[in-house]
Amino acid sequence: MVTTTRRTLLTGAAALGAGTLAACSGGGGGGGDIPDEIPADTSGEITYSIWDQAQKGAMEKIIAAFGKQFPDITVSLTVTPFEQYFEKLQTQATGGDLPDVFWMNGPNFQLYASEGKLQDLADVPGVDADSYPDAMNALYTLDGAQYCVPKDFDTIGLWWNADHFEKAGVEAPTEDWTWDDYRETSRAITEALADDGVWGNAGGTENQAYVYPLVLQAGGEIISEDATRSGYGSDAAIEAFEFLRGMVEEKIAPSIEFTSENKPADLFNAGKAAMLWSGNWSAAVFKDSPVRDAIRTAPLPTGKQAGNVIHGIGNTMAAEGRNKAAAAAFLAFLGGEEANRIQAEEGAANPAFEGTAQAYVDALPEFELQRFIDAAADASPYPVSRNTAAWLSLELEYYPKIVGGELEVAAGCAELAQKMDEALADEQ
Amino acid sequence: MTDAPAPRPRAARGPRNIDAYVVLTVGGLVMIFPFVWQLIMSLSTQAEVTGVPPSLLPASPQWGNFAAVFDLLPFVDQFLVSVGVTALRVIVQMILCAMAGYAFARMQFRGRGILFALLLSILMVPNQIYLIPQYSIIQGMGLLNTVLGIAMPGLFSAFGTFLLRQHFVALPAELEEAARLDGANPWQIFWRVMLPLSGPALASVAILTTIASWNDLLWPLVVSTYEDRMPLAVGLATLQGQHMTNYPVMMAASLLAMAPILILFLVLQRRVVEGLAHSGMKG
Amino acid sequence: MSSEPTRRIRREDGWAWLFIGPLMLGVVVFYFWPILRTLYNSFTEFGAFGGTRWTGLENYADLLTDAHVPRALLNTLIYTVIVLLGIPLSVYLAALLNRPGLRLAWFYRVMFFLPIVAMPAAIAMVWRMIYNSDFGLLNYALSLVGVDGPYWISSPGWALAAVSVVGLWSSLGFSIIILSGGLRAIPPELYEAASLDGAGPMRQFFSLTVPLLTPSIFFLTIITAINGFQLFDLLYALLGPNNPAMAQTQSLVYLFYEQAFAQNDKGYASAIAMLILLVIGVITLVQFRFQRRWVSYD
Repeated sequence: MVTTTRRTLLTGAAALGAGTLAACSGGGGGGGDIPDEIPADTSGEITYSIWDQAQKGAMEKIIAAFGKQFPDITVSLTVTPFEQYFEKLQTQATGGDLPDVFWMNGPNFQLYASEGKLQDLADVPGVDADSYPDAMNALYTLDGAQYCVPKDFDTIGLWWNADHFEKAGVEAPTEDWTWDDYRETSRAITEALADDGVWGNAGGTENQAYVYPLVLQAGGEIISEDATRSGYGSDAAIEAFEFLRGMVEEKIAPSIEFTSENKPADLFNAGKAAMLWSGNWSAAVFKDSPVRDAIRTAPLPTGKQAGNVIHGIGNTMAAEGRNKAAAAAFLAFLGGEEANRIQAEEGAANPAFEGTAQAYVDALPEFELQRFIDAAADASPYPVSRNTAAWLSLELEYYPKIVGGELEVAAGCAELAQKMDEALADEQ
Repeated sequence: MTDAPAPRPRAARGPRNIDAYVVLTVGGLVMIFPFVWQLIMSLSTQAEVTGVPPSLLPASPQWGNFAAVFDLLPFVDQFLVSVGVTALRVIVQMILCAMAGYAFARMQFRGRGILFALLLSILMVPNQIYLIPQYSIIQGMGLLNTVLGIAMPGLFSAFGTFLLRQHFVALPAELEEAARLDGANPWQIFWRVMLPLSGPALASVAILTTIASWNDLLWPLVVSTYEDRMPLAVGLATLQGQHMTNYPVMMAASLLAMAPILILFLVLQRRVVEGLAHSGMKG
Repeated sequence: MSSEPTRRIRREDGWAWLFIGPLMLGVVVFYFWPILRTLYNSFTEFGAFGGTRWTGLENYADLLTDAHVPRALLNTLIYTVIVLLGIPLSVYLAALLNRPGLRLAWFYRVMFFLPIVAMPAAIAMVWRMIYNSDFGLLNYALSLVGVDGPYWISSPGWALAAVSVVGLWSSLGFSIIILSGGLRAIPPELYEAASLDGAGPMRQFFSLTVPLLTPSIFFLTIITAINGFQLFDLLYALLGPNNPAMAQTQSLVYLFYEQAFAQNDKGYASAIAMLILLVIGVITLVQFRFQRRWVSYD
């Protein structure tokens, strides 16, 4: 658990940060310290940066609610498309001009934290890590200090189309489903509904929603605990990839080229696939699907063991902001019960604050979203390292080759593992 | 010189131009059919567009998508920002690039070749390398989130200078020499003799700069934070969500954003063509 | 007599600096300086937010052994050559568009102009749908004549061709505008004279129009080559990083982008940027040297 203030570790982290700060152009660290209790008449203007247009409405409502508690603080919301979000963030960070409060995700977190760009939460009053899932807190902790307040979290589940199942005459997925059940059901549906152009499962090589859980279920890991070695070289990984490759080869799942041009989520959304592994983020999309009435969810099948991945966005504030008191007040509010409840009500995302998700679940009862929340307890945190982006791009390169058959599974995995090890070694 | 309106010599007898009409019509259709599709998409529903396969024609035209654009974006504000940035860039470029283009073309000075080569070289590197340094400079000048700040790096164009240099090189030297013998200084030669002959070239620079500036995305994205102070291209980009995008509305927004430029082009190109027909060319 | 030219040159120097001064000042501040920084960075190992460490020629050594580089270079060259082929086509189209007496010329001009005005993201989306192998327009049209179309943007072989076609398509309007400017500058009296001499339209085109257009054509070959080497946005939008064909289709700038922003290895990325500069710089230089052979400035 992370709320304790480890002053010694903090000074260490601060020293690291200060060393790097000195190298940065233009200081501007005159944002003031954060008082132990932030007065309600704190004033100023702060910027809040997000990347999802779909959640803009919810964020605006949160800002309005915040304004009731802190009427003299103005929050300006900026939406940057996800694809350019981190490129822009890096530019701003290098210029010493980060937004006051902004969204962060797992893969990019350690990079910013290790360079001292993010504010240690120990100094932000009103943030209590006990309110959020352990795995989420762990994801946003580095060297004993937590830097981001979890905003939401998602886990992976099996989405399935009841109409297709019925038409193909197969049984609905159950909690006891194994990989074999999943594959055989896919086969049955693909064969039965070929004329309708419906696939048993949507295929693809999505990492978080498909490959990672499979590898975990085979008993493996993506990255070692200390983030120095890749898990792709293990037998478990090979097993997972062979499972995927097999389905593509036997034409139970669509080919790699097909899913590159027609995304699995789009296929499922359009009713052209009967099953899809995806996170609860898909609820926001599928609720407008033309086949919405047929969509159901089920827990993921198990391999040798159960396996799931938990991830979520974190709110964080800049360590060198111009108005840290105001930013801290807003950050604490974002992490609080009211803000999370608003998120749930707006259906924006599954809020991280324990106990606030009811509205989110209730909004789409037929999707049974509660199971995604329940899965958080046993889910593994999204695998990251200091420079996650380096090996994420390796995944993008190798997954299609391995699952598509261009490389032999064992050889391909070995190559991926080796390249990933090199990237991880570079981080040291 | 006889008052010859619109060149007649290659007289356009009807049948002679049929090849032109055929080729241009086919070519034109190839050029525009993606836009026809864009228009169709903008009038469809999300389900129709993301269907697998996507529907060819909407069941009923969704004109509401166009209205939705104004709800999702501060369209007018962003439009004005785009106009401001573009106007600044075009005006400043026309002045600076014409002057520099003329100097590179017609003046002898030390280091001319090297400087010109260096100038062109700025086009040869990935433009992402400019991002962070330019950001620091604009930030240092306190011009973040301003029209001037967005426009500034684009005020200096190697492309425009090159284009105008080529144009000036092609003009006959006799005009210049005559003026020089008359005792004119370089500025007068430039202003009174060379520039008036540069209508088409300047128009080309203006049009191309307008387009480039209107669609410029990465730099303005990085430099603007406030929704009502970013140009239209950036506003459009923000319509893309992380997991889903409302494609029909995005297409509608894109068409709306394109419209002003199209109208401008229509107006500009007819005026330029007509203007030249009456000017009698290079005397 | 011998001192006069030097005096004239010196006087010209002052004027020249006045003319190029403002532009060059801006260029130095906003463009040269970053390039010099990039050159410096190419000799360092550069963290995401600063903190450089001198590594000498290490990045360049890596460049030579990186298997992705020659492939990216080849892809970029192929793309550039294909887009360059658009120039002769544009000359022909521009000539047609500027034919005197052509009715609705303005209408045709707008049609050719559209591709360069539109928002690139929207264009890419539409082309993706056209190229979609199962549901796209292209393969549908091919199926009508019995041809089974391939995965245009997901197979390593076809992806580059598909991207190049879109590059060509979107650059025609640009070339036509430039050439139209050149065409309008040709005095009609020359055509009159040629007609009187008995030259038919074809003869006039090849002996009169084209030679007089060579300055504009030269401009186009330079700019198109330079822009071709900058291929990135189109590639990213049409294929996407997740595409099985991407590894074999990536361009030099894509490689640069990946190193700079995905891998956060800005030192190595800077070396790639310098490589791009070098290659296209040499190509441009060669083009300039050769222009005397075929470009007639009046």
